[in-house]
Amino acid sequence: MSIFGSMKTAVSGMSAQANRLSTVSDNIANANTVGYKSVSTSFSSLVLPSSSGNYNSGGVQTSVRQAISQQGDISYTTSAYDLAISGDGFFIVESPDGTPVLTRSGDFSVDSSGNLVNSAGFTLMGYSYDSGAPAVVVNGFDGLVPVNVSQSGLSAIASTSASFSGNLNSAAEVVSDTTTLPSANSASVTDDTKKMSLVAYDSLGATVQYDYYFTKTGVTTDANGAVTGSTWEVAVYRNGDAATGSTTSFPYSSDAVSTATLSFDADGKLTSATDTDIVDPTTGKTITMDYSGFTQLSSDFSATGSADGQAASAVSSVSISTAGVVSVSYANGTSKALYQIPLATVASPDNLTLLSGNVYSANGMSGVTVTGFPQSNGLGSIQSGALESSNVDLAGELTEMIEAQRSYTANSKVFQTGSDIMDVLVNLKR
Amino acid sequence: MKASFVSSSAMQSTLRLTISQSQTKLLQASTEAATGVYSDIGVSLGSGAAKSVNLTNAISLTDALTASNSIVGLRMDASQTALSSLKDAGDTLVSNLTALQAGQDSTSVAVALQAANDTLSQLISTANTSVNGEFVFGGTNIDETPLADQSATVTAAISSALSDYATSLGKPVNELSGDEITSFITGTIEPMFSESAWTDPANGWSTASSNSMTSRISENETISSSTSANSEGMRYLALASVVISSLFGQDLGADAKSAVASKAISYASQATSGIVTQQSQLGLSQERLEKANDALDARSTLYQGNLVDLQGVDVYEASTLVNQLQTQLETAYTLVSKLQQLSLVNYL
Amino acid sequence: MTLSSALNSVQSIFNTTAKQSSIVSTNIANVGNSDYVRRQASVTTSLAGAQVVTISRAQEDALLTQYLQSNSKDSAQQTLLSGLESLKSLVGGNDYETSPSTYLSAFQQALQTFATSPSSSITAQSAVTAAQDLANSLNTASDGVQSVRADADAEIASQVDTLNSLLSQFETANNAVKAATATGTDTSSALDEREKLLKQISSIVGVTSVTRSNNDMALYTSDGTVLFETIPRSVTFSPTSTYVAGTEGNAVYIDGVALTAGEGSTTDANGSLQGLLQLRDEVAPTFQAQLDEIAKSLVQIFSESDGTSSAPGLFTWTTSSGAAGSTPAASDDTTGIAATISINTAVITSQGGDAMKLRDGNISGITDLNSSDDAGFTDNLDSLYQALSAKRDFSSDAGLSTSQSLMDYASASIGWLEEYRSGATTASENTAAALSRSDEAYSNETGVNLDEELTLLLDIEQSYKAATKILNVIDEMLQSLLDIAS
Repeated sequence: MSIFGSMKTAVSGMSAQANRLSTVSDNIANANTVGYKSVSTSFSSLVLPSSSGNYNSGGVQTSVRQAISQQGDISYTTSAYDLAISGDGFFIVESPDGTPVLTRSGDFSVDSSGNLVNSAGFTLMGYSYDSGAPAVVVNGFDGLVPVNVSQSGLSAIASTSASFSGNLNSAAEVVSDTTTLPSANSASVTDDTKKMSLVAYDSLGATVQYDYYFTKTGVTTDANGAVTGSTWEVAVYRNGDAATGSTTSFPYSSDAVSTATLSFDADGKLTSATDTDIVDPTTGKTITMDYSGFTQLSSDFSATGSADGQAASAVSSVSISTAGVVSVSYANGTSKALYQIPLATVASPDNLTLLSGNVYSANGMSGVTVTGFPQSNGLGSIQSGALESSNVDLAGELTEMIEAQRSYTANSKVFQTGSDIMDVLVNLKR
Repeated sequence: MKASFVSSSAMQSTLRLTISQSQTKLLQASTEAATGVYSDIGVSLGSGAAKSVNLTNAISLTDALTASNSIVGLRMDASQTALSSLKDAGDTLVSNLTALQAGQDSTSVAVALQAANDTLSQLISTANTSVNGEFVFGGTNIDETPLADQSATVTAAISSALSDYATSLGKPVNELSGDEITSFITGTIEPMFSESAWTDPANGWSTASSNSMTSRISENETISSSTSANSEGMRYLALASVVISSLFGQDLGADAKSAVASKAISYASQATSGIVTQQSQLGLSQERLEKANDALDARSTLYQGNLVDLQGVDVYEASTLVNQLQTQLETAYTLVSKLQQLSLVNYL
Repeated sequence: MTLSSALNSVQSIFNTTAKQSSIVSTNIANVGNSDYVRRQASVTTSLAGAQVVTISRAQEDALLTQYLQSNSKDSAQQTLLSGLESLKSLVGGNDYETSPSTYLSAFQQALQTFATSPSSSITAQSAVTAAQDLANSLNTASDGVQSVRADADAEIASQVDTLNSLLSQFETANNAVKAATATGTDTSSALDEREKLLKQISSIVGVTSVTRSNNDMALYTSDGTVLFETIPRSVTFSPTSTYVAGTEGNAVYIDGVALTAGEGSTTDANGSLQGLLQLRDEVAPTFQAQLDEIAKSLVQIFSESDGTSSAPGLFTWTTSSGAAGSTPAASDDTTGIAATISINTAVITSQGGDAMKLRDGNISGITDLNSSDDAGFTDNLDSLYQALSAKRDFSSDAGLSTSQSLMDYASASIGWLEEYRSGATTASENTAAALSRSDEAYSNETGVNLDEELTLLLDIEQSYKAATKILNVIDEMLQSLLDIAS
């Protein structure tokens, strides 16, 4: 009874220490696993009823804990697809059988079909930008698609707006003969016209150069002869239609794609700009021109302009921002957003069910998953090019191991003592 | 963080630039010290180079004028010498004829004839003096021998004219009076020695041109630098000689002979004074030449001085600069090598 | 926190020191490279507490702009100066030995010598020879001037080609900068490459640069014409291979706008193209016009006239169509006469002529001033001699005073050239000094100082050693634990 009891207690102690040792060995074995969360054991005593003269020894109960919510160290790598979460939250990944699970290990790489798959074989999921900026589904995994970064296509964006700013020389000669204005498209354009040019893009991404001709057309004076305003004409032609073989580009083979009128006041400020849109029949596009940056002061001509749009160019790299936006950069520098990676969290992360492959799934004790974008609602941020290493402390584990061994030895000593005492009892009757 | 500093390439290139610039300047300064003129006149003077060119041209023009003036002077000196010998010949003729005026015995006649012939031949030979291939008495026609001896032709013409004259007067030749002979001489013989007859292309004595040579002796001065054999002095000298040689050979009365002699004497003195006039004219030209030469010398000195002022460089200053630059270069070289050693590379 | 996180930090130290030392070694490797801008690695702490190396580039846009301006100015000034030096070499060295003025003066002296001994055939032939030398010097000078123009034209053609290829290289570099900026990678090498091309472009044509979004750069010439904006604009030029007086060269068109030539000896040109245009279209033609005026005056002075008509005497010329030229009137256009002026064959003894015709004034045959054939006839020679020093009228197109003697005109022509060259030389010294100053300032701000890099390297070495020490200590600590366990 009591001897057997203490032997049984010793056995339960030994098995508890054995559990402890197995958690330690599991931890040490996974000391370098990306995203591994250490497990630890905690013991509670099991008490059997005893009376005042008899003590019945009980046993030890083991409960295993996971330190899932403890952040591991972040180490930096060179791959842009290695993601680490700094803060709370889990990646939502798809297991090979199709169910979505949560994980912290972000060592993703591109597989043969372009999906991001981590070393355990799970595919990263995110919201696509196909229909604009995505909205998150808070309490479920609907709308998530595998993140696919194989962009083999080229893309081009046509120009829709351009701006031109600078200074027009107020001392320029006024050209009143309309047949010598650039808008008349005759070969007799005078020298009082200033030429600039700007490059825009058509819908195929090809560059289209437009020639701008600025000519002063009129000056309004008041009764005393003081200048109250001036008008300028801006004639825009396609450079591709310029006359070849002579020293001047006039006459162009097609009419002006825009003839705008700029009016300035006596202080050289732009008061109005009419008919500014460029309607190009060859590309079929309309480009809105913004001339509001022009002044008319007594200084030399100068003008700088830029048009939006993008030439057809191939993808040069993929980048993932801290908000989880996956965007591709094109060779000419522009970028386009493709996906946004959401994070999921539960009310009690430490109670998640651990599955093999370093993934977790929600159960009754952890609470339901709440999905959100990184850096919102207390979720952490995504670091690209970084990995979260395991949160195992080697020194701590070794200490645990030594303790476990000593306790096990101690328990076995108790067992041995009990068995020796039994032996004495049995040998009492020969 | 970056404190302001000097980049290594700036340090080295600064010194490199200094060295190359000093070397260029050293080259220029050495050239100037050696030649005493700007090493590049155009760069130093700019549009003043035109003045420099003008001065150089003026100096060489002055030298050329001086050289040509010596030729002109030679011509005039030769002419003067010839003219003075002619004047002497004229004087001799006059003195010989004066004796003849008094008495006409055969010895005096022979002497007079001889004198006349000598004078004539001296006239011809003197007038045909040539210097440097030019006939100094040819006027502008310096290629051709000015005087040819036409005395024989003239004498024959005079003889026939005299007999015609005598016939017209109804007297034999030896009965002509002094006045008649005088009028014959002035009327017939003298016109044969007029300038037009003298220069007659068919049988005139002279092929010389009556225009004298004009020569330029300075920038803006020309002189007539020769005289002509068509001058009155020479003609009348020839006239005097021919009168004597042609008429004294004729059979004339004593009265006529003394008239001839006195006419000849007057012609000879006219000739002498004409030659003297020629000489003084030439002398004026010679004096102007001398003055021009002096002026040319003075101007040449002036131009040289101006040129030195314009182009010249103080040689002492240039040599001082050379020394300075050499020191600068040596300092730069030392610095370069020192700076190169001042590097952490040597201490790590 | 734990030993493992200590190990992690040590690992990141190794990473950062590796990156820093690679930056320092790149800097050291490019100590002498003037196109290299110094980079600096700075270590910052990221959100998660790890260390990240960011590379910053010592960019100095204001000094770069100043350098580009002084580079263009100096390039233009040096180009103009070297063209002027070639023109100067046509007239000789310090004594102007081969200039028409020297030969004119020698000819005048030969005339004077001839007038002093007018019957001497030696002096006559010397005068004719001196005249031939004069005509030859005018021909040679005229040919030399036109070859200077042709060389300038060829140089313009080759520089336009260079400019076009530089612009297409600039497009590549600009795209590389845009791509690197957009993806957030290190832009330093791409920026260095673009700056190097910009410096080369600025020596050909003056540029101002405008930076747009994404580090995109647009280039405009100093007149405001667009040179490069997303794509390079076309720079076209049709070369002319042969130049004679009066040939007009073609203009250089950038984006359809003609490039203006520079003006003045301290030229306002930016870039060598404008300097070459100034040389080809303004300086050389003016000098040619002066030579033409001298030749025209010579033909006019030595023309012979019988009262109604006149014909060229000692000096003859041929028109551009190859026909023999007549005596030019004051308003006639005689461009190119200096290249064809020559001596009338009627006075050249080797070609059956008679040098004495110069004295007699009957070279052309329409008049004979020495009808009496006097060998001592000096009037014609003297009047010719005086005419060389007498005041005449000249056209104002050649840039010199319109009323002076021929001798003065010839030396004034030299004076004009030397004034131009003197001004250009002084200006070139100034621009060279300005360029070296701005180069030095830019280099001081952006260049590499070897000593500073080596001191940084020492620092990096120290941190590396410290990291290895930490590694050792952690290792010993773990080892001691393991020893207990065994």
